[in-house]
Amino acid sequence: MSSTDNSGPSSLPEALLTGPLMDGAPLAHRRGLLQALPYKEAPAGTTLFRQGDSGDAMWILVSGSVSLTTCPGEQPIELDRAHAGDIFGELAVISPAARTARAVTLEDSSFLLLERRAFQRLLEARSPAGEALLRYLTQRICRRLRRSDARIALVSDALAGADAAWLRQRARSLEGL
Amino acid sequence: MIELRDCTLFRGLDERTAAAIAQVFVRARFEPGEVLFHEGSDGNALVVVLEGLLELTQRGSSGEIHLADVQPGRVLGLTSLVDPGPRTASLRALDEGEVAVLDRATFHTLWKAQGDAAAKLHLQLARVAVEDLRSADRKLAELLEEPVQPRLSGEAAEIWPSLAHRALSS
Repeated sequence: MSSTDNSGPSSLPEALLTGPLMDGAPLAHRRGLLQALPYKEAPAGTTLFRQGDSGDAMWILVSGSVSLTTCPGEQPIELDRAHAGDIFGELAVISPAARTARAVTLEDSSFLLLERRAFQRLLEARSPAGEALLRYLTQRICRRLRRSDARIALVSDALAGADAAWLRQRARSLEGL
Repeated sequence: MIELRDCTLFRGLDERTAAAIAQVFVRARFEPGEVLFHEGSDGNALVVVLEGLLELTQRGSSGEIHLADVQPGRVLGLTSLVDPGPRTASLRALDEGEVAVLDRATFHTLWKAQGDAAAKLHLQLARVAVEDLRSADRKLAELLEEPVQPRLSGEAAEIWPSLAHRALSS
């Protein structure tokens, strides 16, 4: 299991401080938000959460990398790969529900954790960095929603045709999404 | 006919905030056959269905595809307010009825005039977006899990797993 280390990260990745995560909020507020979060480290190969676990925090990757996978059939499929400065598990910070993917560290990694309650407190206090983060997360979720809707349309369309040449063409279109 | 404040967007809001937000929505009646928005057009408003039945449709390679029936209580086009882009489907009325509409400009004005209410509305929008995303991802997983035999034959059945893989991976 991952360990909690309250000493915090020695330095925050540039991407977290100046990237899109809290776009529009003053730099001091962004740093303040990040520095108040609990810090964790995990060695390579650690499962951070499993598909179906109840989730109540968003993970901010300070260093290392994480693979996010789903296992619909026999073969696991990599949904995404997170690197330093990326976030994952962000749906949990908006509303509680089971994790939709499994997260495993690919190398020794470190994280900041934003729990749903902490996020709600930031929003209730009208924190500029908290509100900027909410805007970023909502936009990111809307983009995921659009991509999923487009994929549903393409897969439905693929099933309607059902010959090999047609499926090949639809599979190519899926790559472009 | 439902009340605007009974829809998912208002769930859990305190009385004062709910009243402030409900006030900036504009009501509009529609007739059967009327298209409320067109696929491909610039999405600039969120629509809450209060009364009547509508349908979401999309242009497919072999004609129009019926995506879903839309009942009162449904919140549509929330991406228009937070991440503008072209509409991904058309919304057509099957009955007469009524919608409540909030456009992007009004949402931005609300941020300036009543920041507390706007911030709470934004979190509600995010919650509805998360619910929509979770249900879209469930639907996609179900489509991909469907037994493709006997619908697909020979070579097509062999291609299916790679198509399913592409539909899920980043």
